[in-house]
Amino acid sequence: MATYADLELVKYLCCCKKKFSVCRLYLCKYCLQLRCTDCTQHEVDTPYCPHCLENMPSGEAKLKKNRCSNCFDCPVCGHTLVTRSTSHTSPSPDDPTKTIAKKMYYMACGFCRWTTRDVGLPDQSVASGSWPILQNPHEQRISSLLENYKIMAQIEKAEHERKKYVSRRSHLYRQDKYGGSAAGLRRKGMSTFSSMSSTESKVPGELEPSVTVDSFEPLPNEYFTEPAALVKTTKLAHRHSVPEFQPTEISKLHPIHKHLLMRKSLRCKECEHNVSKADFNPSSIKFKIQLTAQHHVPEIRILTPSTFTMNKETIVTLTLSNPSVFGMTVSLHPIEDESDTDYCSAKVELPKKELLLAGRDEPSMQMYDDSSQADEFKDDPKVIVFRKGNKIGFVVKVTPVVNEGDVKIQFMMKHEFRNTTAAALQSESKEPEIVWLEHKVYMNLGPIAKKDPNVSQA
Amino acid sequence: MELQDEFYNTSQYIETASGNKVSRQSVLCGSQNIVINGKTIVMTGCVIRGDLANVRIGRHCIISKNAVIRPAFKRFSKGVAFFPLHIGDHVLIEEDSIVNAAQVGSFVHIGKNCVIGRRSVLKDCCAIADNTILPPETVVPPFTLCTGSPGKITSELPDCTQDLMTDITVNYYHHFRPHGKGK
Amino acid sequence: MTYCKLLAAHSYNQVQAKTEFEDFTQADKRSLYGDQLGSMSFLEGLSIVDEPKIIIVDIGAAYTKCGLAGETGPRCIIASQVRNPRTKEVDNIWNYSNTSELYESLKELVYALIFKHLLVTPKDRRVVVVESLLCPSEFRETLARVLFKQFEVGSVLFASSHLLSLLTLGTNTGLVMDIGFKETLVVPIYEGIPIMKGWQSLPVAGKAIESRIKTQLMEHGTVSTSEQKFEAVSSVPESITDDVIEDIKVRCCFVTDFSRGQQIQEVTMRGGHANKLPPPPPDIDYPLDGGSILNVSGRIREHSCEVLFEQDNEEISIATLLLEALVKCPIDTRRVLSSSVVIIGGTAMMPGFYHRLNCELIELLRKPHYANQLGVKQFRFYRPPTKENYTAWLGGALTGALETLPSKSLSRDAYLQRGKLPDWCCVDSDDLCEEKRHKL
Repeated sequence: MATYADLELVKYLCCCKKKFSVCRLYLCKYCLQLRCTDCTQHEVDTPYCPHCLENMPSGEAKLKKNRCSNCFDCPVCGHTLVTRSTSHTSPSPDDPTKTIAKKMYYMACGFCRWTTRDVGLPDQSVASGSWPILQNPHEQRISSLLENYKIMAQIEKAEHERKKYVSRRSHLYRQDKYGGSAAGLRRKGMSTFSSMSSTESKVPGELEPSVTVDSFEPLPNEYFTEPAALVKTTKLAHRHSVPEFQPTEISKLHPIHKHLLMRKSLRCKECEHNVSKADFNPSSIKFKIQLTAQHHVPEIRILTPSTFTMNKETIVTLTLSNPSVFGMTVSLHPIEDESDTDYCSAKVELPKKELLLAGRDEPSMQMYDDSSQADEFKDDPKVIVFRKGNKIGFVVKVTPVVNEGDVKIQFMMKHEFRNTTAAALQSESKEPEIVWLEHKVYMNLGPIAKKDPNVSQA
Repeated sequence: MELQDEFYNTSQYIETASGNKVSRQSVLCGSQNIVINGKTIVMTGCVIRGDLANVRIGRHCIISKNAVIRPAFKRFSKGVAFFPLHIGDHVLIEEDSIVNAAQVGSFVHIGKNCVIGRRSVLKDCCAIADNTILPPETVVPPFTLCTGSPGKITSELPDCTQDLMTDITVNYYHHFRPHGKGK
Repeated sequence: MTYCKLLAAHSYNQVQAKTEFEDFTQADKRSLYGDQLGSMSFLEGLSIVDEPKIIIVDIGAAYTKCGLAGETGPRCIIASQVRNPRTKEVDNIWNYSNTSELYESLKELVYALIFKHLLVTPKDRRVVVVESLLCPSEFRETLARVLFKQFEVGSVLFASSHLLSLLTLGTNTGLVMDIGFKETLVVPIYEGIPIMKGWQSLPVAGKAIESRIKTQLMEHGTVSTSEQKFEAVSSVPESITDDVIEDIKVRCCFVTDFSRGQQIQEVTMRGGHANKLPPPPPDIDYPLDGGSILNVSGRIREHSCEVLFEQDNEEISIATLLLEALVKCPIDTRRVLSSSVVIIGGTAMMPGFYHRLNCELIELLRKPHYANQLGVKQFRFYRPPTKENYTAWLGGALTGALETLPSKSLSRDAYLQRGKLPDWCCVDSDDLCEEKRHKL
C-alpha cells in the first residue's frame, strides 16, 4: 500500500500549486511540468467487470447501464453471488411415469448466506443469465410523458427557429426574471412546460392527465401492536441500491447485476497528450503510456527520524534516489520568496555542491554492494553520507524556529531530465536534449521535542 | 521516510542459499510442497500449509508474524479437493492475516488482521486494507483497494503501485538484518 | 395569470430600456453574420442526434441522486458525503467552512459520480443540476466552477426541483412541498410560474426527526451488553452514531395517526398527564456493533416523527406551510392549487406520512382562521410516477432528454467569458444562455 513507507511526508508542488507525494504526480514530457490528477483530464477507457474481469465495449456498457450481464451482487451484503447447482427431478415430458434429472441453478452469497430461494425466485435451468429483470412499474407512464414532451420541444424549437428571423417581436421574451414572466422563464429553461402550455393546442392531446387522490390508507394496526421485525426490513442502503424500487421488505430484494469498473486514461489538460493509459486487458498491470513522476523525478526521503529542539541546529540525513537509468545531477536551492508560511518552521542549510547520482541499474539494484562508488564520484564525506547504487544519503542542517508543532522545510530541487520526446529529438543530432527541471519540495521532518517533560506526557 | 533497520536474532532465522530468511518458529507443513523463490522473509509464528496442496511463493515477499498461508479447498459431491496456492513476487502480507486464496498476484499488499476467503483471486497490484474480511471467491482487480467486511472495492491505487511495492519489499529485505552485524 | 403579469411588471420596467438597446445591436449583428448563423444552427441540429447522454445530478442535503437523461430512475443514490482530505473524516459536503473546501469536496463527489457510477467522460457533456430555490449562491457558483473548470463539461442547466417535479406529472400547476433532510419548502406553481410570494419554509424535516431520536435516546435509552443490562445510553454516547440514528429512523419509526398524535402532543407539548398517552407500540431490540443491544422504546418509535406536526410558538408546522402558502397565493389560483398538491423528498416516504398530513390539513381547514380565508374543504394529492426521493431528479431526466435543452443551458464558453451564473434574482443574466450567444 502506498502508505506503508509514509510517503506523505515529502511533497512536491504540482503546477496547480497543490502539494502531492511524488507517486501521485505525473510528469508531462511535452510541457515538462508536474501534473496531479486534478490537472489532467480523465477519460473512460474500457469498462470491465471487476468479478469476471472481462472488458465490455463502452457501447454495450451504455446499453446495459454499466452492469455485467453474468455476475450478480448479493442485495443484502453486496458481495458477489456464486452460482450453485442442484439436480432437480421432474416428470419426463414424453413419459409421465419416468422422471428425468435435470441440473438447476440458483445463486447464493458466500458471506451472508442469502440465496435466490430466500426471496422465492425459481431455480434456473441455465447457469448464467435468464434471471427475471424487474421493470419499473411507472415505465410506460414516464415514456409517454417523455414522448409528449419531445413533441412539444420540437414544436417549441421550430417556433424558435422561426422567431429568430422575425426580429423585434422577441424582445418580450427577454424579461428573464425568475418568477417574473412566463416568457422569461421559458427562455431560461426553468420551466420547459410553461412554454409547452402555450403550444398545447397544437399537440395531439394523447397524454392522460395525472390523477389526484384525496385520501390515504391509514397505517395498518400492526404498527401499534406488533413489534417491528428489524430482520425483515431493509436498510436505507438496500433501498438506494435499487433506486427505482426501494423495497422496504427484505423479501423483495432481487440479485443486482454487478456494476462495472473502468480503466481510465489521463490527459494533460494543457497539451492534451496522454500521461497515463492503461493496457486494454483489465487484469494486466502494464501501461501503454505511463508518465508517472516516480519514473522521472528524483525522490527525496528522510533516512531516519530525528529529534528537534528550537533554535538548535540538527543534522538530518535525507536520501535521494535517481529513477532513470542515466546518471543525473541534482542541485538544491533555498526558496527565496517564502510565500508558503506553513512550510517555513525551520531554517535549512542545503548542500552547496551539485549532487551526482548514478543511474538505476535494474539487475544490480537488488545487490546493493558497497563497492567503492564513493571514490568514483569523489564525494565529500561531510555532505554525502553513503552511496548505494542510484541512491545517496546527504546531510542538511535544520534549525527549527518555532517551539512546537512539526518541523517543516521547503526548498527547490533542480535536476537533469533527458527529454526524449519526438520534438526534442528532431532538433539536432538525434541525441536527447538534456533540460533542467525545477520542483519545489516540501518536507515534514517530524515534531519538535517538547521541553517540559510533563507536557509531552499530557 | 526510508524504512528503518529491523534486527533479528541469527539463531532464530535460517537463511537459505537463495536468500530466503525463514524463522525457526514458523510452521511449514509439508515442506516438500512449498517452493519459496528467494529473498523472501517468513517471520515468527507463520504457518504455511504445504501439506494440503502445493504452495509457491515468489521472490521478495514478506510474510509477517503469525500470518497463515493455507491453500483453499472446495467441496465436491465426491469429497474435498485442495487447490494449489500461488503467490507472486513482491507481496507483503502483514501480521495475523489468514490467506486462503487460490492466487495472489505480484505487488500485492495485504494488511494486518485480514481474512482472505477461500479461492479468492487477488490480481497483481491490488491492496487489502487492515482488518478486511474478503468472503470466499472474491476477485480483486488490479489497482484497487478493498476494505471492510465484506471487503468491497473502495478506492484506487496509484499507477506506480508496482514501483512502490518493489521498493518497499526490496528495502525491507535489506533492512531486515541479523543482530550484531552492523553496517 | 393576471397576477403573474402584475408580479412581472415591476421588474419589467427596470430592464425595458436596456433590452431595447440590446435588441437593436443584435439586429445589426444578425444582418452582418447572417450566413454564419445559419450554418451554426445546422451543425447544432446535427450534434444533438448522436450527442452522448446528459448527466442529471441532484445534490441533496443528505443524499445525491445521479443518472442520465431519458432514463426512468437515477443510476445511483449515494450519501452526499466525501472524505475531507485534511481531516480524513467522512463529512457531509454541506458542512463546509469556506468555498475552497466546498470546491474540493464537490470535486470528490462529482468525480465519484462520474467515474464510479456513470462511467462517462465528462468533457463537453451537458449537465442538468437539480437545485432547490433556497440553494445558497456560493454553493451553486462553486458547483459550476467544479463542473466547468475541473470536469470541463459542455453546458450546465440549473433547474428548480419544484418545477421539475411537476414535469413528472405532465401538469404545470401544483402546490409543491419538498420535505427532504434539512428543511421543508413549499412553493406554489401556477401555469408553470412559481408564485414567489407564496413560498414557505421551515427548517424541520428528516434531520429534525433524527435529532429528536437522538435526544430521546440520550435521555432514556438503554444499552444492554453481555456484562451489563440496561446501561444508560448517555454513558456510552459513542455507540450511537449518525448512521445508527438514521437506521432507527428508517426501520423503527413511523408517523402515527392523527388522534394518537394529538394525544401525544397534549402530553409532550402542553404538559398533560403522562397517563393520557396512548398505549405505546412495542419496544425494539436494536443490535449495535459489538454485540450490545439498544432498546428503542415504543415511545421513541412513535413520538419522533411528531416533530413534523408540532406547531411551534408561531403555530407553524409542515401542514400549516401548505395552508400559509395557499393564503399568500392569489385568490383565483387557490382552488386549483389545493387540488394539486405534490409531495417530494425522502422524508415523505416515512410510513403513515401521507395519511397523517392529510388528516392534519383537514383539521386545520376547519379552523376559523383558514376556513374564512381559504374556503377550501379538501386537498387533493398527486402521486408522481416515482419514489418521492427522486421525483425532482426524474423531472430533470425528462428535461435533459429534450431538444430544447441546449438553448436553455449555460455553455462553458459563456461561463468562462462572463464568469458568473444566471440567477433568478439577477436581472442581466439572460444573455448567458447559449442561444443568445449565438446571435451575438
